[in-house]
Amino acid sequence: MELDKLEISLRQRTSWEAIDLGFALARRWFKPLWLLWLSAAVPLGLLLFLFLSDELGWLMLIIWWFKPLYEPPLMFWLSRAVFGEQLPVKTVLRQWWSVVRPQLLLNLTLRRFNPSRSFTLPVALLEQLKGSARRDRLRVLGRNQSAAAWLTVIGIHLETVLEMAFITVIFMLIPEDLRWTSFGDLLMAPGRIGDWLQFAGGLLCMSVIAPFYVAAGFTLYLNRRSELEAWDIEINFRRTSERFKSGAASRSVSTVAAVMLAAVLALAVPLISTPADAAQQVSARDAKPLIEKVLEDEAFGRYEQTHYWKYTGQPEPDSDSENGFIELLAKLFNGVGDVMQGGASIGKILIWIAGIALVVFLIYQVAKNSQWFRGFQRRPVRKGRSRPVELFGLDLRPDQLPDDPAGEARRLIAEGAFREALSLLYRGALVYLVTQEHIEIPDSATEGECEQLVIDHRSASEADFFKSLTRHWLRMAYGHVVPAEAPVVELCQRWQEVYGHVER
Amino acid sequence: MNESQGQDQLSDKVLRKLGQLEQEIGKAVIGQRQVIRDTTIALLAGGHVLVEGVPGLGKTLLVRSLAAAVGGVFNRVQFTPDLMPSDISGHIMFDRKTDSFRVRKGPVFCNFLLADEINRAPAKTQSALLEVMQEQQVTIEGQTYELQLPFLALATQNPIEQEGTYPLPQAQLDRFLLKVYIDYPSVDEELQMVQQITAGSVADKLDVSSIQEVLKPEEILSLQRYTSKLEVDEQIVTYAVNIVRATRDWSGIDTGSGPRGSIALLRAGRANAVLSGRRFVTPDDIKAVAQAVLRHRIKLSADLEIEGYQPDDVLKDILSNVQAPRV
Repeated sequence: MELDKLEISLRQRTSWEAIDLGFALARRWFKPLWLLWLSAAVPLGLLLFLFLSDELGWLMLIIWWFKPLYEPPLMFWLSRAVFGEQLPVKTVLRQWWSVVRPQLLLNLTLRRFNPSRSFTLPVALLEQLKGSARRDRLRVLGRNQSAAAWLTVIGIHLETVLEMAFITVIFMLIPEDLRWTSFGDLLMAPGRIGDWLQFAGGLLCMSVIAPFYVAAGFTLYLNRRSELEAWDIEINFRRTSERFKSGAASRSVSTVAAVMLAAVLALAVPLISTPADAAQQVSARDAKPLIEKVLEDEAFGRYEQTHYWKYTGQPEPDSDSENGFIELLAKLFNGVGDVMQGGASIGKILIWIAGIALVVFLIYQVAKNSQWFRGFQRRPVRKGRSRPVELFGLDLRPDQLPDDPAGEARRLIAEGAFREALSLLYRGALVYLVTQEHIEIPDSATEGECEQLVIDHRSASEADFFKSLTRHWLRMAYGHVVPAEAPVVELCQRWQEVYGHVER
Repeated sequence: MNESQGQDQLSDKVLRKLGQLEQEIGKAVIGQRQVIRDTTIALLAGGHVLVEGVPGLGKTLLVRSLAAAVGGVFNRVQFTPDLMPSDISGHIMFDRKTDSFRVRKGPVFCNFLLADEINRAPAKTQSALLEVMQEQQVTIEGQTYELQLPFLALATQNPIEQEGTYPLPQAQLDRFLLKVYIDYPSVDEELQMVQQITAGSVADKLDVSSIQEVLKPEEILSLQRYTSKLEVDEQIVTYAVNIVRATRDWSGIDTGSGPRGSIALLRAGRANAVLSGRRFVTPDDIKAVAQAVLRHRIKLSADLEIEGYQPDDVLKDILSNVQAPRV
């Protein structure tokens, strides 16, 4: 590994800074990375489309599932690019299978849901470790490293948001007049266009997110390696050495520098290792005496005592009178508390009573307004719907009608009270329609609308009679035209025939 | 009693002719029965009509047919942004031949005036027409001229293409007795219309030659007088007032109708009763004309307008909630 050729500046970074660095790399090399991802995903998508064109859901799921297939080439390209070797896409594609093949089956099955996928990928791909060696290596690399999992979580969310945004934008760009469906139906309801939009959006968003995801995973890996193996120190020393070698500095200085460099490098040898050596970790037992030896050096073996000011807050006032007042207050509150405790118990009981009363009242109100409770009401009502008791000011309660309305009307005609007679007949007819035939007559219904209801719901002969009755009633009521006696008497007779059986 | 009988006889004779009037108009104007009915109501009640509908539905034909059936003079004014009040009412001009000033009467001097697309003219011109409608007289250079009665103005508005229009203010709308929506005809009506109009006719000329004159302008005037004297029970008046008052307190209505709405409702109700062949007004007459009378006199709240409600929706609600008369 030629650390001198690194394109990135290595220094001690937090995991989040490392992810940020990865995003910067992805932005810089987005095009080759994107092409590499698409060059693997698109052929697979087309192939699957031939078999699953009717099952876009399955197609989408498979393409998503095969993500570990598209990512290794990106990682491979990045691993070369950060060391200054930007391979042409074609070159990577030529060795695509050899890059993708190692541990592919495991990547697509057991490791598919590994939340640190992009972080662990270099171990298999670049260090080419397998089995227990890989596990040990990952244990060392992954210690206290949660950022990789968070990277996956955020990546999933970003991908979803992007996909939704893509579909929303497409939907919003469709003119309102041309929209054939709602946004909800477009997403949820089965339909070719909705499925295709989700498919295209999903593929596009996956391809956009993937370079960032892989690059961030790779920089996390690099950062961890750098942290464990002190790459940044090595690079600095190398640069110092170069400077001393090439500069016109005095021999003595360069000798000292060379000695220092040799000493530190000698100490650091176990730490600075190439990826191939990385698996052969220095054991804790061997490392400890080495560390102690280094620390024995004067440069490390010093203890310094420093002093500083720290604010510890205001000193507590020490006053007997104030303490006495506080104690008095405490006693007072305790006393009040005792009294209130008794009161609170009573209050608690009262609140319970009020609560129960409220619940009972609500149950009573609900039950009163339901059919179920009608049997318990004091005033029994007849079965069936509630009936209006008044329409156009006419009393429609059956008990308000005489036993023989037609006979009573005849008597009124004989007395010359035509208006009252017609009113009685009309009212009697309405009582029949509302109570017996259950015809819904709203309060706002005019005579004409009642007539129409009768025409719609009753027989032709009854409708004819009702029309005739309404006509006479209207002339009397609004036209103030007193009818001749004969037709009104005839109405009484026909009323008896039509409504004579009214149950009152 | 004799007077009553005489009036009844007059009305019998005239009512038969009224029935014919609608039939005659129907010969030329296929379908649109409600529009014909409403226009006739306005004619009987001495009011004016605001018709709203897209172009090409027979508004001009309707007024021409009405004029032909009543034997009146018909004029049409196309309202445009540059139309001046004097273009409607008339003006004085100097006549060189007689070496004197001469009054040139405008198109408003007629029995039936079609004010096409009234909202395309500025407020000043609109007001000129609306004053004529209200006063039934025209003042030109200080000289007042009475209009020839009956006078019916039928103003039209286009519900689309609102750009560059001058919407009539509420106060002006109030002067129309009825606002009528003219809608597309049904399939059968359109078929009949197309066949009838295209048979043996050259170009788009409106043909009202088949319409016979069934009423004379004087008879219309007597019918108007008869209508105005029609008996109305106190309960009917109360019903009309209740409906109009309900529009003022109804949720969803910003501005309800004023008393002019109640008056118009009763006038139109009377005319509807006459057209129905009755000598008294029933609640059904009031209910039948309520929407046409009130739809342009109420202003819906912004909420309802945004939700796409029309005045008719709210009026239906009101009519189904106001109690019918209690006799």
